[in-house]
Amino acid sequence: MIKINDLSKSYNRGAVKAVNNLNLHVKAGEIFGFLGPNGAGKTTTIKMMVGLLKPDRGTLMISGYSITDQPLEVKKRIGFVPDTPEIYDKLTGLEYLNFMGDVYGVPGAVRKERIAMLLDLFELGGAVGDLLQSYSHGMRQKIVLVGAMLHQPEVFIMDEPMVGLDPKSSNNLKNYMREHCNQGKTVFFSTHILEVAERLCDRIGIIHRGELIACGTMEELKKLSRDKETLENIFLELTEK
Amino acid sequence: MMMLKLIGLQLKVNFNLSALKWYFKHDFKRFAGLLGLVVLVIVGISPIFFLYLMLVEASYDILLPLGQTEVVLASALVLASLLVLLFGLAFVMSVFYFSRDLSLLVPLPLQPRDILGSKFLVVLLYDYLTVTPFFLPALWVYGVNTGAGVLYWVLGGIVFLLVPVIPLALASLLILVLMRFTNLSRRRDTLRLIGFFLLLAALLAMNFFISSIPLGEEAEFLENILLDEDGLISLTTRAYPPALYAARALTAGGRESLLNLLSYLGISAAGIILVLFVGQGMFYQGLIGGAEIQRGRVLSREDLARKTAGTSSPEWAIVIREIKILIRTPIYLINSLATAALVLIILLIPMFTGGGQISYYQGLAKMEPRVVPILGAAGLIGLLSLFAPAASSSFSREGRLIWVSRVIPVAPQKQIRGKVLYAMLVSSLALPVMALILVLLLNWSLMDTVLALAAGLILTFPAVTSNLLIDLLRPYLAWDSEQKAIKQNINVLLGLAAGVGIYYLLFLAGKAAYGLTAAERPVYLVVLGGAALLGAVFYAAMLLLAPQRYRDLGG
Ligand SMILES: Nc1ncnc2c1ncn2[C@@H]1O[C@H](COP(=O)(O)OP(=O)(O)O)[C@@H](O)[C@H]1O
Ligand SMILES: [Mg+2]
Repeated sequence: MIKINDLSKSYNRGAVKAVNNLNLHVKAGEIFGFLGPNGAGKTTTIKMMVGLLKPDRGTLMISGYSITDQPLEVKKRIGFVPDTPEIYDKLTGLEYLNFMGDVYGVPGAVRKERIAMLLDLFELGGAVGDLLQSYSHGMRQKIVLVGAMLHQPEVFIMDEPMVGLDPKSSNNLKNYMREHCNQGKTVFFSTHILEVAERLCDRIGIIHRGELIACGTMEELKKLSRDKETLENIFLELTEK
Repeated sequence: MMMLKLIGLQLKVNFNLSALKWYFKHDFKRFAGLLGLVVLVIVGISPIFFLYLMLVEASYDILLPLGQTEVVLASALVLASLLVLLFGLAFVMSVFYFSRDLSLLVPLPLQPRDILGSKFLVVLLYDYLTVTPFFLPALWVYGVNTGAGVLYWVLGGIVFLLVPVIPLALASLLILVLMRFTNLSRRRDTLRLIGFFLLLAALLAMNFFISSIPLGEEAEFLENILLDEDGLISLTTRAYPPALYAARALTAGGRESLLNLLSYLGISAAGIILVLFVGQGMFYQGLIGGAEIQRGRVLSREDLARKTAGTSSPEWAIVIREIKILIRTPIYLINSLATAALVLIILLIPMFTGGGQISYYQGLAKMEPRVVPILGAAGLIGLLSLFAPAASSSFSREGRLIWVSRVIPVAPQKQIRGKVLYAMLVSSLALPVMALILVLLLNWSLMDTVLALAAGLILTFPAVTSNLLIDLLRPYLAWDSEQKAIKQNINVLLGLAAGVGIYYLLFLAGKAAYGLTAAERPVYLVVLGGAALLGAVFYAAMLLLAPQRYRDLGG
């Protein structure tokens, strides 16, 4: 589903190598956790995946399409949730969702059901008629999530989606991610919360200083470490080199 | 002193001084480019002010035999001051109450008056942009024609610096009071908009009554004005008395000059002190709590189902998004539609003041060749669309939210189409208003009116597309407060300049066509065909550039 080959990106004319020669394959039906400390290059990678940043080198294929050559084909198939839920203050939650439904071409009948279902899931039904300006950080996060789920994307890409969510919403999101994958779709998300990655992901990639230093299932990762107990130990060991 | 530090900070932030300095040192090309832009704006708008300069010269020549030439200065002072006052209301409201940095400044251990003072200065500096083109030509014409000495130019410089102070202080006071007393309910956004328009209407009405000539005594009145050597000047400055001091300071000479200057200076200083004093008490009371939002009622399941069942095309979804955001953001509304409305009203004022002018305007209904007033009215519609920077700030206004437009699976070309549609819709708000004015006030025939409106729409097209193109090429996305996206955005000025330039070209082409053929049809053909062609060229350019721009913007 996601194929990243030799991907590189640097800032400030090469001074900061944010992503360096990244290779990554994610299969359909998989929840993939992209793990790394602050400044590791997670956001940079994700922005390139969704077409917000242009790679310096390398290729990015999603569902068989290249984001650089056929951006629209890719965009139709992905749902994206950025790390900061910045959103149109002057639209109501409902207007925002209808906007997203329109641009992703979700038919009215389908849209009706999904919006009702997702609003229930995230308990936003009461606020959906209000301007987004009045939403709290977590509520914004949730409305952006709902907006990105409306068209049931083949590949769901999220940057630190759990940050700012209360425990219940974050649990609902995890359940939703699992269901989504059970339908043969793919979830790719970044996080620095190890426990989430450990419990939820089919496979985990650890990025550090722009390079993928480990990638595999929990079992495979455990083999890389001397102290095989928790992901935290593995993570600390790998990233402290 | 705190205020000085704040002023330094505000200047840096608002005029991008740090960035400019950086460019100057490290990226001179970019710096030169910015400088070039400024020059371009000045050159673009200059035809209007060249016309204005000619007008001032002509007035001087008319006034010379009456011995009342100082009216040239007085009327420029009045005009500049009133413009600062009227446009100041919106500007003050944006800068004082809707800057994002306020949420950083208010928690700091600062006096309200310190913050207010620094914001006041920012607006003041911008107002010199308004004052310069209106006041300097008059200062020049009077000075050169009377062969004035050094003292005149020195005094002129001082007066120039003082011109915006009093009207801006007045605007600040009005807004401080308005915001203080509308900070009541959850409906404050609506209340404030209504209050804003009432204020504007009240100011305009007052101006109208003060400067109108008593009915039934016109002849006597005019005689008095022409015979009395101070008749005209006191008439002109009746709308704005401080202008009298300023004009006298420049023209009276000797001790009287000095006294008048001192009075002008005194009123200005008092204005600033009053603003700071009133602001100390009222500023926070109007500001704090200003972001609380009216909550709608909770939607029932049925409502929700009904409201989510309808769909529209992606283009139309973009049109709706743009229009909703424009109308619901007070700063955008005030700086776009309200500004255009104000421009229209200012242009219409002469129609109501004084008896002679009405017949002049009504004469337009009969004027031959018809093409002149018809295309003139059409041009006015186009100009209004330029003054409502709905197009020239369209991409900039997306700001950090541009990521949405870049991530959604809607082809950039379609998004451009949506934006053109939206901007044309906003511009066409002028059509019903113009129709009423033409038919009811000026007694135009229906045929002529329809022709003027249709031509207006065609003339709007190149204005809209050129302005969108400018904003697409260099959108200002990194703003931290909405007013910077629409008010302190050089693209808006560039767009205005480009629009005026286009209309000037079309005017020349139309004139040439009439000169060659002495018939009306070719003029329509050349002007409207030219407009449609130019519009199409800009539109095509946008379509061509869009995919690359949407890929790279803000990344
Ligand atoms: N716009 C930018 N300009 C310059 N450097 C940047 C920019 N964005 C990120 N970086 C740098 O790139 C590196 C990776 O950042 P990022 O991808 O945001 O990390 P993460 O999301 O993993 O925390 C960091 O060193 C960061 O400082
Ligand atoms: Mg990040």
